[in-house]
Amino acid sequence: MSLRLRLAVVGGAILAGPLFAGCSDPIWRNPATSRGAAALTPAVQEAVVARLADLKPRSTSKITVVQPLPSLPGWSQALIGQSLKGLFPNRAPCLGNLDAVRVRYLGEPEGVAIVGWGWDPQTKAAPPRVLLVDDSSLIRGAGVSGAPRPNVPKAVPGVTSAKVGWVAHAPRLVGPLDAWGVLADGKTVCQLGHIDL
Amino acid sequence: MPKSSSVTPGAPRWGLSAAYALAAALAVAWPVWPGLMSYDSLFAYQESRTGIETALWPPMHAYLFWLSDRLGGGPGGLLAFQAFLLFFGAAVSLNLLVRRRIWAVAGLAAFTVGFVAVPQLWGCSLVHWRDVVTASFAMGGLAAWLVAARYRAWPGLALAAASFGVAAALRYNAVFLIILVAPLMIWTPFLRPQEAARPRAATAALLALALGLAWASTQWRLPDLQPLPHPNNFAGTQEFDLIGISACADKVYLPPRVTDGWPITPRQIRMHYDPRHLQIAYEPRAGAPNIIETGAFGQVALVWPQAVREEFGCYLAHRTAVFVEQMGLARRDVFMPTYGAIDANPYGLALARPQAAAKVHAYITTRAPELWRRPFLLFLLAPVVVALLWWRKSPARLLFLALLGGAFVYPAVLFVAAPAADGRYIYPPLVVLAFSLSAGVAMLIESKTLRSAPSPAPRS
Repeated sequence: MSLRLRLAVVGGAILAGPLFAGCSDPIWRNPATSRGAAALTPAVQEAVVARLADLKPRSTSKITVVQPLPSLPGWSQALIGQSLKGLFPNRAPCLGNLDAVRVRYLGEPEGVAIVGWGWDPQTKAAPPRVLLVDDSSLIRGAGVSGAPRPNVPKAVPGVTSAKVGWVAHAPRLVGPLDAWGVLADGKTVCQLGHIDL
Repeated sequence: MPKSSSVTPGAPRWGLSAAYALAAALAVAWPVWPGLMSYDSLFAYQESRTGIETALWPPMHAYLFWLSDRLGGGPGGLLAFQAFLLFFGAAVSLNLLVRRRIWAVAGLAAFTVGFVAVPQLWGCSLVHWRDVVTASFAMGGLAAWLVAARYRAWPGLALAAASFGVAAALRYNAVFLIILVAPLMIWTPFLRPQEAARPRAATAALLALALGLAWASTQWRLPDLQPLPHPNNFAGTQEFDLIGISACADKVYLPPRVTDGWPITPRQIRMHYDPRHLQIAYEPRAGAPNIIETGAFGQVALVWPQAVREEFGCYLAHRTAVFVEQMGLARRDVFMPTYGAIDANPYGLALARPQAAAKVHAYITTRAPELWRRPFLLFLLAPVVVALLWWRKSPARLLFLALLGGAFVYPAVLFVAAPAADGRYIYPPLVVLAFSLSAGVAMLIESKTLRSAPSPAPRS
């Protein structure tokens, strides 16, 4: 084979490969093939810890920390996973709101801290306990009232106490949650708000 | 000492070169007058009016807009100038490298056809992108150097250094285009085998001055010489890399701030990831939290080196995916071979001939994806021609090797640094490669015809 012919063959092969094939998307770009979890890699956790002091949350914004979710209140342990409807058949109206996710915990277990406020017009007091319920009406988290919210009585007629704020925790980072206040009788609940994590 | 270098057996043929460049500049500028303008273009134009506020992009482009405005040309003036300079530089260079007019004309015809055959070349030329001006000044510098070599003219050498300096001042990575040309210029300023130390030292000083001024133009602004803020351009690339590495490794290497604190899964990161451009990842995706443009208080910069170390295979896979798009190797299409409009602006800038612009845009966008018109082919073909020049022992082989080297180093740097795969990013090397191909082939054919011609009778 002459040198020219050899050059032509080699050159042709170099050109023909990509010319006819083109490059397809690599398989790892396909979301359907992903099996990974949302957990942060250690590299990211270290970076978050290293720069934690720089995170300056606004008053209503969420922050993310690498610590585990705090323990749920002892009284709620027996309720977690149970149906709200089964345990609390009575409903009552009350005032309130689910304001925001305050903290995201990325440790083990992971979860969220959610804040809001509530007011029972009958007893003229905040519902003492709060339950977080998923879209299957199963209890997923819990918290207590009594946090100071001085802005609420100023803004909402009929609310006479400033300690109507509540903080509740749930071991999940995604999905919908409803907040229900458990009234003083321990048998009645009233809806306070909803959030899609 | 011979009057001219054996590298430049031809002549500049000023009239022919100017006529060709005028015609080519007219063909480029007329349909899209006063030039297509994307966000980057309008930002540079804005800074030409309001003053330089940032060093995110080197300010030289804004200065050129300002100059064109002051001379009464507006943005269209700059478009016409950059197109003229590019084709004039190519024409003068080609006429100098090729002895006979007919082969020079053939080479120029091939160079012109290259712009139509590889629509990305034509498409980028229509837009006010700094990449285009970079290529224009690089070609202008090459022509000035070859003229200097032909006539052993110091002004030509100074003009070449100045032109390369302006090219280098237009993009932070532009200097890589001349990374081998500059040493060659210092080693052999007039492209002759033997060169004294003084011309070498003088050329080194000229280039050092030009490139030093180019660097200074990115550090201090005109006219008040106030220092410019550090551009920190690599932060975007680092965020792009973390998204790509996460998508490939099926793990989350994104600091929570990148998603505004919302948890994100690798599957959702893959939904966002697109190797064509970092900005595409910022677009909202149903069922996934938004990814935002942020350094996350330095967390991105902290995570990046560790992620690259831990997932080096995925880093390479991600960068390769970007490179595939960049070089036009993706099966689907080429990314941003041109820009279709002048973005909304408060300066009253609008296309003078929208219908003509639409026709040109339609040609480019429909033809550019065809595989045989892809830019990577120039990267494959040009080395073959340069190899043949070496095989034939062409006097210009070292020059072409230097041009080729710069054209390859340029995208090699983009491989690790590009936050996107816009077609325009490789426009300067594409122009150099198209020139090398057309000039190289013309020289090869000419040398063959000269060899086959009967030798003149020896003089008595």
